[in-house]
Amino acid sequence: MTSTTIMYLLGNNGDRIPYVVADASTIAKGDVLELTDNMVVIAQTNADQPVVGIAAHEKVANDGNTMMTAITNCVAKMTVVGGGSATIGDPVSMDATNNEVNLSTTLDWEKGWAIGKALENAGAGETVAVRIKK
Amino acid sequence: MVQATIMYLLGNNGDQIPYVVADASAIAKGDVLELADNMVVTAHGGNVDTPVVGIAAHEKVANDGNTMISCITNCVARLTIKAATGTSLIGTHVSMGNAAGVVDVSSSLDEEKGWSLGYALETGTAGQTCAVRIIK
Repeated sequence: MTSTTIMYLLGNNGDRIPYVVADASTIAKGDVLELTDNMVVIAQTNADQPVVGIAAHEKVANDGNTMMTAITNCVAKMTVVGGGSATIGDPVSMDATNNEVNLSTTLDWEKGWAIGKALENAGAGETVAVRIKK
Repeated sequence: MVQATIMYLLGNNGDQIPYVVADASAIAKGDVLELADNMVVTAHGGNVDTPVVGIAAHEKVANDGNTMISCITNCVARLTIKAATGTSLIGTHVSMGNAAGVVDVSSSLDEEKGWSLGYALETGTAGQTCAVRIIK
C-alpha cells in the first residue's frame, strides 16, 4: 500500500475534521479516508466511493480509540495507479488500490468520489501533487 | 424556518466573509444566506436553484441600522432535509429545498452554478437532519 505525503497544510493546520472510526479499524497516517454513513470513516479500499481527506494520525486496531482526524485542506503527493494518468487541473479519484489515484470520470466530482485536482501531469506509477479541498 | 447548527468551524474561525445586507432584512443566526447581486445577501426563504454563500454568523434585526453580515463559509453544519421528498446521500452535494433553510440532494450543474451549499456526510431522508461539509 502506498500512502499520501502532505506537501502543504492549508487553512488552519489542514482544516481537520473529526470523524468516527470503528475500534477494530487499522488506519495508517497518510491513508485516504473513505466515508461511510453516519460520519464513519475507513481506510480507503474501494473505487467509486466518497472520500473526505487524509488521515492525520495512525489508528491501531483495537486501541480503544474511536475518533479519527481527517486533513481536508492541503496539497499532497499521491501515486497514480498502474494504467492510470493525471492531467493538470482535472479531478482525480481513488482507485481500488489503496491511496492510488486516477483521472476522474464523469460525475465523480459531484458524487464526492474525487479527492482533489491534479497540479501536475503524471503517468502510471508516477507521483502527482494534488490540491485537496474536501 | 429552520437554522443550521454549526458542528465544526474550520479554517480561520469558519473563514467568515462580510456581505452587504439591507437594513430592512431580518436574519437569524444560522440562517443559510442566499446571494443577490452586488454581494447583497438575504436569508434563504424557500427559493430553489439559487446561489448560496454560507451560514449567517450572527443575528440581524430588521431596521437596526446594520448593513453588514458575516457569513461562515468553511465548516461542518447540521441541516434539515426537505420534507416529504427530500434526501441526502453521503458524498453528494446538497442544494436548497423549497422551504427556508432546508436542503435536498443536488441535481445536475447545481454545484457549478453555486446552488450547492456543500456535500452530505450522512445519508438521510425527508425531515431528518444531516451533517453537511460546507466549503463555499
